[in-house]
Amino acid sequence: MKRAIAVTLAVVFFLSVFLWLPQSSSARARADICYDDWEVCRSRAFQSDEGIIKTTLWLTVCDLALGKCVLGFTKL
Amino acid sequence: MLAIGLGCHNQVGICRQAPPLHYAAREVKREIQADGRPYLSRAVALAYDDSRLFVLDMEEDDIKVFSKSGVFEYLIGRKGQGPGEFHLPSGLDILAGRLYVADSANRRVQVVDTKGRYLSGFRVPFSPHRILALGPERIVVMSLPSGRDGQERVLHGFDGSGQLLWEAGDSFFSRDSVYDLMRNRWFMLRATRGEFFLVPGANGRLIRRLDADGALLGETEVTENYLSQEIDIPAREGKKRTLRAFCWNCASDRERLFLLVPERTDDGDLGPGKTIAVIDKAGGLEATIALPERLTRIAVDGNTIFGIDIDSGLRIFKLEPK
Repeated sequence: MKRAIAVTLAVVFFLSVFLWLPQSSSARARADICYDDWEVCRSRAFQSDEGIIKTTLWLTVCDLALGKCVLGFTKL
Repeated sequence: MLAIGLGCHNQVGICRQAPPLHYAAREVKREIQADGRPYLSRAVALAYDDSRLFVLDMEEDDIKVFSKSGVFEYLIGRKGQGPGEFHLPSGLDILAGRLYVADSANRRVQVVDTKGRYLSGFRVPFSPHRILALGPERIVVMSLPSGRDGQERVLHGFDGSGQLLWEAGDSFFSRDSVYDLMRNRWFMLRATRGEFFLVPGANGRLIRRLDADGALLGETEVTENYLSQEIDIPAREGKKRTLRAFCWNCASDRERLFLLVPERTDDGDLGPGKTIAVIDKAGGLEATIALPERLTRIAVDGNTIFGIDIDSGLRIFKLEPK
């Protein structure tokens, strides 16, 4: 009985590790892309020469898009 | 009296004997293509040498080269990731026949000659925002703070091979990334003796002078006669925070600083203006220069002003007494 439980737990453990790792790696890669796009968005906004209020709103949009991107709803 | 042209103390340009005087900028050249469109899409930086003007075009990922009389001559670079190619370049400087480019989205610095031949480059661990070459072995790169990790250093000194030598300049941090970024608008301007000025874009009137190792040499407070412009900007939780815009863009020439004064736009925003304030070594208002158009970027060479207007057109002006 003990052996069966140990084997079951081991199987569950390894399955969860193998199923989680690719997702984790993919999520990290996606987050990196999100932050890269966010930097580009901020850089464009900062160099835009729009008025200060418009630039502020543009930067806010960059932040909102980053949040959505990281959460996986959409891509910037 | 101010004198234009030969000036005093053997200097070319503006020379002060009794402040402040007023000058007008007379347009001598407006560069446009045959179809009436400007050559530039989004000009973000200007640099010049003895014979040419180099304009960094962020949108088209290249450097457009003009004669100093404003005639388009040739292009340097194109969009890409290879040597001599750029992706959203945002900073440009020239020193001793070498162009230094802050290749922002490629996260690297590139050095090319004035014909566009690739000379060297190195990676940096951030998106470079502005760049200033103080010598072949002293390249200062400014970063935009991320606003995520508290105060960050925004000035990074590298040698010619890309070895990080020093970091300086703490960013403003208040956990509001948008407001913080607007507060962290700084400009680097070349001074003499391999030194440089750090000029605030907002919320401050202290101009710092640093040496090639990033050490603070001194601070000069700009006179109260030079007025900052206040504007309330949207902040977190529906609140508003006040930003005091100090200058929109600036240039240095022979130890004088030329600050482009922000101005109200028709829709109540605060944008690039039509006045340049000339600031002397002591922070005094030496002169004002009235421009016929709003300019977003300026470079000054003696009594010549190179400017980019709000439609990304290259404009060249000569100073005249008003």
